Amino acid sequence: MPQADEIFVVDDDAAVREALTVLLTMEGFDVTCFADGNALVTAVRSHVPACVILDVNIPGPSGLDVLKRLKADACPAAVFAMSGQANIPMAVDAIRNGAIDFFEKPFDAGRIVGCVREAIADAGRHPRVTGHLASHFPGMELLTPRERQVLEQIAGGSSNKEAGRALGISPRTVEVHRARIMEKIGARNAANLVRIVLTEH
Amino acid sequence: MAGEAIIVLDDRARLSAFSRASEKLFGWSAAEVVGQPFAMLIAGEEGMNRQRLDQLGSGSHGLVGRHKAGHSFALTLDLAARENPAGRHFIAALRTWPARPVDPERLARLEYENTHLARLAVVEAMGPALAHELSQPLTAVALYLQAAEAMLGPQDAAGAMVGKARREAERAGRIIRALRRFVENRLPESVPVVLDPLVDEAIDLALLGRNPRPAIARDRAESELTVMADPVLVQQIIVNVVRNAMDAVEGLAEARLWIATRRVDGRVHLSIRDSGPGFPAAVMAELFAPLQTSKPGGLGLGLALSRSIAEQLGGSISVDPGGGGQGATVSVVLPLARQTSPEAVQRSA
Repeated sequence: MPQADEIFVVDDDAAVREALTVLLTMEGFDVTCFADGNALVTAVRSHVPACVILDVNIPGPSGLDVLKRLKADACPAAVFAMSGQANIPMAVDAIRNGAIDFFEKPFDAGRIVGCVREAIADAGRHPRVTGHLASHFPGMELLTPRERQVLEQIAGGSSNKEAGRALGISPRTVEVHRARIMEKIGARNAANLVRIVLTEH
Repeated sequence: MAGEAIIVLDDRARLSAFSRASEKLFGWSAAEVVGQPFAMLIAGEEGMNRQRLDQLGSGSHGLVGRHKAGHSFALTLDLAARENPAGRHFIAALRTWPARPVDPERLARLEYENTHLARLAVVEAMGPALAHELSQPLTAVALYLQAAEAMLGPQDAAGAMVGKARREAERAGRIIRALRRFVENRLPESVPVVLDPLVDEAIDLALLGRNPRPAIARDRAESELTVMADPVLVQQIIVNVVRNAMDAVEGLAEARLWIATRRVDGRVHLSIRDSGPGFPAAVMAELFAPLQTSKPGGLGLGLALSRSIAEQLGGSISVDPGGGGQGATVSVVLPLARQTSPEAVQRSA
């Protein structure tokens, strides 16, 4: 029988940790839990799991800091971020820092198992996001030059206000452009948009 | 004259609310005077500031009012000072002479409404934290139930029940996520949103705490309707209107709502009809006026806010009052998202 795939779970809430462990163990995974990010980073340095499920709102170094450290270590595990206080900049930040997807708590239990399986099956084939726009991504040819400029700003982590200032347009206009860009590229949400355009296809 | 003129003053004795009756009494419209000093309405009281209001304190006072047209008239002012999280402010009830005796019930109601506003502010501040605190246990519940469901298998009767419990937990999760977006304080955004799922979510939100629940007949548009709008604001309108409709049918033998979405030309029509008695003509006249309410404990802001939001989004709200056995119908019209074209983008840049 092949070795079970390993999953590391980081959440400061004991009930969420235990429930994820029960479910994922039943689904045939080998689960280890951590209550904070330092413990995870240390563990990952000696031993890389197939997948990490990481709460962004944890004590000590934040989930985003943990993501950055994993990225700096070129950790090959598939990392999922989750949060009970999700907002768009947080999701975008998580994706920019290497998360594969972002779950807003409370999430549908069935979905997370499917996503984890898919990510592990794709292991090594999900290219890391880069710090800059990919040379090609779906829907790219549909964008106007202005939309491309706006997209570069958003993918670079700028807020609407910052992007507006850089381009000499109002934050409101940036908002309208972003909506049209998401429509053209077929992105589900802002996190998904950033993931698409920062990944080489 | 009909009723008392009610005004609200902020801690710098500026007008922050000006009722319909006040408009009649002073000749100014609310839009003209909100934000202006109270002193402009009172003759010989140029120094009518916060200190003067504190000095007057609570109770009845004789003053001379100044009409927009220039003439003066005798006034009785009943003043009540209040504290809420936003600071100190004053509620004033004004009457022309000869004075009626102070209606203690009226002041008590004003006070109640005011504490109600303060409570709302607290709930608003608590909302995001509450949503976060609830999201952790709900996440754990849904995960445990999913595991138990898988353990028992689909053939097992208990497994089927656990499956139902899991779906209910996930529904609670969706409500929490919607609630979080609803109360979160942030800048409005404009994104393409598909209307029908948003309407369904808003109905779920409006149903919160309703018992018994009215029967809801839901009619969806045949094709997917996408509007360019802030989903939270659109939801705010729908929640307001649906809650109003629910209030209208509460306690009736036939408590029923019909909620339909359809496409008419380049616009989206959302109609909410109820099986209630319809709006009386007197209510219709002031239906969209702020601070007018026929409900005990109501603030009279729901429809006024909904209309201003709808207009901001390039839409409108209209009301068919019904009556004579027909319930009222509120129609919300919103523009459809335009097909994206490079020209449209150029124009908006």
